[in-house]
Amino acid sequence: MEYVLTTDALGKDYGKNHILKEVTLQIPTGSIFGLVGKNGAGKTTFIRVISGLQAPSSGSYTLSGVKNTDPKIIKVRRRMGALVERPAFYKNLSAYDNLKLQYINLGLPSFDSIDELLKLVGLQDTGKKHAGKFSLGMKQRLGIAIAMCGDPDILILDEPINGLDPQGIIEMRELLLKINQEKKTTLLISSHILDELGKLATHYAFIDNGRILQTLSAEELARKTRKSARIVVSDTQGMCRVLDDLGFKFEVASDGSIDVYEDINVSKLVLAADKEGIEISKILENDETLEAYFMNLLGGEASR
Amino acid sequence: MIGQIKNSFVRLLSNKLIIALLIASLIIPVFKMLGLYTEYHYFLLQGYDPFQYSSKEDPRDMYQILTFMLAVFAYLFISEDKFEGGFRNKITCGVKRSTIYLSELLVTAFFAELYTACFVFSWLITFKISGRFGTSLFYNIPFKSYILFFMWSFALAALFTLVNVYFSNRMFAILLSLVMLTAFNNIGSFIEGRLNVPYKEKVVSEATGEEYWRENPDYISGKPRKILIHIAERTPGKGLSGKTTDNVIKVHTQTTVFLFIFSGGVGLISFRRKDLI
Repeated sequence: MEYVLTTDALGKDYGKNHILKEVTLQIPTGSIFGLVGKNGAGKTTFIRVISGLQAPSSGSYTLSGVKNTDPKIIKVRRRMGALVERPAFYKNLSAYDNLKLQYINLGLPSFDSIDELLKLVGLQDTGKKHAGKFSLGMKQRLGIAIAMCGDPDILILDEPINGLDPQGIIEMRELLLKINQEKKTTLLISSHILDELGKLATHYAFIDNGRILQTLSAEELARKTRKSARIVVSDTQGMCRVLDDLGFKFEVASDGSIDVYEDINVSKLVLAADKEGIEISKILENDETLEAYFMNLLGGEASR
Repeated sequence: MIGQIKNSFVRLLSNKLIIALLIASLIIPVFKMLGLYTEYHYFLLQGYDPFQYSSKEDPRDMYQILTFMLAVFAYLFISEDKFEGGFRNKITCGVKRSTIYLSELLVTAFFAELYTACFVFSWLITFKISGRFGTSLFYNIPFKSYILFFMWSFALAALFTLVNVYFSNRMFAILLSLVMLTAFNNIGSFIEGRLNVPYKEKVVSEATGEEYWRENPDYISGKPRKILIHIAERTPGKGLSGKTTDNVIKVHTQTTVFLFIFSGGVGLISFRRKDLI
């Protein structure tokens, strides 16, 4: 697998406070990578460090194959767009002029593609209206458009849906999916709004207290958070035969307990088990969301 | 670098406050003349000789107003980039920090000189068109003195850039600029006051009640005196208020160039290491 960004034991200290502790991540090219963590977990600091706003205190990172200590990193950054914390733009300029300034920053010779970029983020009709007078959603989209200038390989977005209304959240989700699918841009999105991230991300990293707790793909996470019912039985082998006969998908969790990955009709299941002389003592439903999974992960970490 | 300077000009020309400051630098001398003209007529109506009683205006005093405007300009220009995310957009897309700092410094210096030129031009025109009235109520300073204005605007631009880029608190940056400016404008007079303390003072003896002379304990002598004289000669207040000799021009050229290079260098190094939010 190809990685656009990798970090190796990345650390950041503010005085005596260790904000990032040996963060090691690999972000696959073309993925939508969700960085999940509560407020103050270290997400923004991580993004500030990899986007060059702050220097790491320890460790290193590699962007498109170039290490952060290599002077060539400056050139590679031209292939990266970032929206850190809040959209950065000049309030007294129009959306077009803000993009024009970013084109100048990037040294792009022509402004021809600005209109296309404005269309992509749905700001093509804003004309000469000053960006300071935009709604929150429009400001957020302008921030993304600025980060998208020069067609970057990786787009880093820190809490892009913060403060948006439900309509704005849907629009933002559609925009990000469009950018990822049409432009083939890798997205690194940090968020504490997990349900929304769950609708986008192809990979996840869970961060807490400056440390990465776990990284996994969306498929792995789906397996772990799959809706299931755990049944506790007197005869595991016999129950497996019953479940096979009923055509259920299941896995033996341990001797005496089986996870069933289907909606089950309890009376039908109990009657079938009773026919075989098997006693069902408990049925526990497991419908873990991304949020619940994260909270469990945090709980596990806290108890360590 | 050229791209960054171009970037600054595009946004500066759209900032109404900055344009307003530019217009203010042009109309301050005109307003001052109108003020003096009103005063002149007031004395005339009261039956006094207006040329005897009216205050006389010195452009060197008014230059202090311009330096405050320069502090406000640097604050508006740099804080817009710093707090609205301009620095973030530049750094994340690979613009070198040294390029960013140097372009901020050069643009601030350019505008400081432009404001000064507008002010001097407006002053000279006002002086010229006001005829006899102008020559009686305005000090006609030698042209050399105006060179000092340009020199100090250049040095102050570098100091204001350093303060506004370095300090993360908006209010602190502008307050520090203004405090620094007040100190710069007044430190020369303060030092001069200390240096003018007489070597001997007359005191009355408590025992006999007789007056006698003794060495003044407040008199500054030796190396400290030399250092204070050295500093005082290099302050804008002292340079602008005294006679503009060739030596004054030389000393102030050295001082302002030193300040520009020193604060520019410190700013450049500290900005390269600074953690941005």
